[in-house]
Amino acid sequence: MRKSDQISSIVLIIVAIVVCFASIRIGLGTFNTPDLGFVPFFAGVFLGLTSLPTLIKATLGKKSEIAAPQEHVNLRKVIKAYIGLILYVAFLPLLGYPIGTFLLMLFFFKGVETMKWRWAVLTGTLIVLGSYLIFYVWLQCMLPVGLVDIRWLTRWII
Amino acid sequence: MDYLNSVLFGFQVCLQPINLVYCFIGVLLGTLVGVLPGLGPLGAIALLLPSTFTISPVSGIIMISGIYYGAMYGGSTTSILVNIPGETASVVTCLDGYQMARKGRAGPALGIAAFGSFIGGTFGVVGLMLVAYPLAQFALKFGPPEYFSLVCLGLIITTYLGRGSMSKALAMVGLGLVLSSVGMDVISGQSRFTFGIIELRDGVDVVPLTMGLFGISEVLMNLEGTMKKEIFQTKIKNLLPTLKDWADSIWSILRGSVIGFFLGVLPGGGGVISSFLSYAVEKKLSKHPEKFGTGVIEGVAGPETANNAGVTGAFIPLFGLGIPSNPVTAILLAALMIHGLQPGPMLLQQSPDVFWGVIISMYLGNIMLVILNLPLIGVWVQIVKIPYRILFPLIVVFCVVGAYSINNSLVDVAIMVFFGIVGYMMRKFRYEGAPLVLAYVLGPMMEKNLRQSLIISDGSFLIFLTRPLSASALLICLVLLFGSHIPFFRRRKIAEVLEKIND
Repeated sequence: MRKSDQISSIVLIIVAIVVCFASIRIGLGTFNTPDLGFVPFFAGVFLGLTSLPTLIKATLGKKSEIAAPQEHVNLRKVIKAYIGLILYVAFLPLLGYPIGTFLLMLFFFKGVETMKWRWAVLTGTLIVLGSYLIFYVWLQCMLPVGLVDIRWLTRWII
Repeated sequence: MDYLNSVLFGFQVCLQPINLVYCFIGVLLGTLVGVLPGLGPLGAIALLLPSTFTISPVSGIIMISGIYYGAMYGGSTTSILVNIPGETASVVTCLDGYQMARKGRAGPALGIAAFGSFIGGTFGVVGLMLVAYPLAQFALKFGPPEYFSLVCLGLIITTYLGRGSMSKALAMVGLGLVLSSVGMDVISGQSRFTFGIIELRDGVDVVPLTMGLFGISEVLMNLEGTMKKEIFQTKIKNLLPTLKDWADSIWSILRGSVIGFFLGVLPGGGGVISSFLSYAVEKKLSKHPEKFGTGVIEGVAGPETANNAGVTGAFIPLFGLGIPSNPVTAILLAALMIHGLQPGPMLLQQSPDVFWGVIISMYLGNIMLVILNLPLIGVWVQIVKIPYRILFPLIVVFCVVGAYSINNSLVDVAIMVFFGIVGYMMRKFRYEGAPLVLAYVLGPMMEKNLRQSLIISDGSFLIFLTRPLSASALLICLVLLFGSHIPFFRRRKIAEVLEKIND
């Protein structure tokens, strides 16, 4: 945990410094007339000060003698899934909920997991149709439409 | 008499057919999300929040509350049958519940978990009814200094009761406060830290934030490893515990009710820590502590009772003071505000139907849960069998819909995905999410009351020390922060107990 604690606390300290400078820029005010940046400044100071002990402990503390057993971590799966999510968010305005989500499901089933094509397509279709009917039709939640409006298809199915 | 009238009014509100239907939907969905590992009450509430916009606030809040306490019932089923806790609050139930199932006693384990939950939940509701009302009346006298100090106390207790490093938890409080300052300033109405993004003018919404931190990050964590589910192929029989089972577990249930309720009231308490502490207490008081972990019924009865009592107790600071004590009640706070209600003491004044209707609905909800859970256990077992490779895309879909439909904004979906990786990193680096979310939700309240106090006192911080309640709250904060040398306040003790149980 030493290295990860060092990295995480340094990141938090940098965030704290940036917040403090940004707060000063927008104005701290005085104690009797606190301005916009007053509380964020002290929140930044608090963040920095509370991150320091972790950094100090990780840097000056003793190394643990027995290394913790490493569990098998499938990081590739995590990265793939996260990239899929980023692409989904990026293309959602263009593709809309039904098409975008169907493609995401396909990616999860084929790219992240190893499902057979026909099962991937079938499960993906069922998830998209089911969620669309529950949330859009039944619960009347709004969902991203995209450039290709296929809401007529839902009306036609119903 | 006034009090009795209010209780009767609560019954009148919640016995309306529409409210009963929403209560039933809430507890049913709650049990379902409790059964499914990966989708907790937080995600389910956030997901269903937009669907409550079209119904009355009372029905909406009754349903949302039902999801919360219903999830505690469902969590035990997976703990006992699969050794995978559906809910964090049911982690400790795995220890003896799963062993009981292995010995062919899954039925009594599930039965005592359901009855214990019912007793704990009902005890919690009685406590809530007795405490929330006078607390709300008392809180009407609070001014900005009292509220500021109480928020500070709430945040410090959250970090104190946390399971990881206290300095890390405090850093998360700092980060939460920083995040809460994004958007419109509560006093001047000017924008800050929005980076020109119009959607950020109202700040980062709590729903995408929590869904990312807890929902998406949980999916990413689970993808790292392989989730093995071994369900016993035995018939689940004898759901009703025997007289011996009752004799063995009745004191555990009663102790669990008290422990759960009082810990639930504390910020950071809720169902999780209540169940852990209840298990530790039962083991300590038992005549045969060495048998714990091998399938003793007290190890199931105590924690399962405590987590339900804890959940109900968590409503006290929310309804009485408008201060959430954990991330789920933080979402509930947001739900109340979205419905145009003012959480805290004013809720009792302005919307007594919501205040009393929701409290009384918990009685009925607990009864529904017992009736629902015992015969439906077979159905829940089938749901548990859904493989994770199908479950995780479903959870992602639910999170996306929940995040988008709050404001119909794609920026919220992007925020959720961003906080998904932040939450994942936090888990990897052992930072807790609860202090961040609580600080985020309480940040605006803290800022408003701090600035108002300073304006009232003409810039003097003595205002926080000259008012008894405020001074007492700040004194407790100092003791918890720096009192590690006093044996009674030694935080390590609690942490050690929890770590031992975890091991």
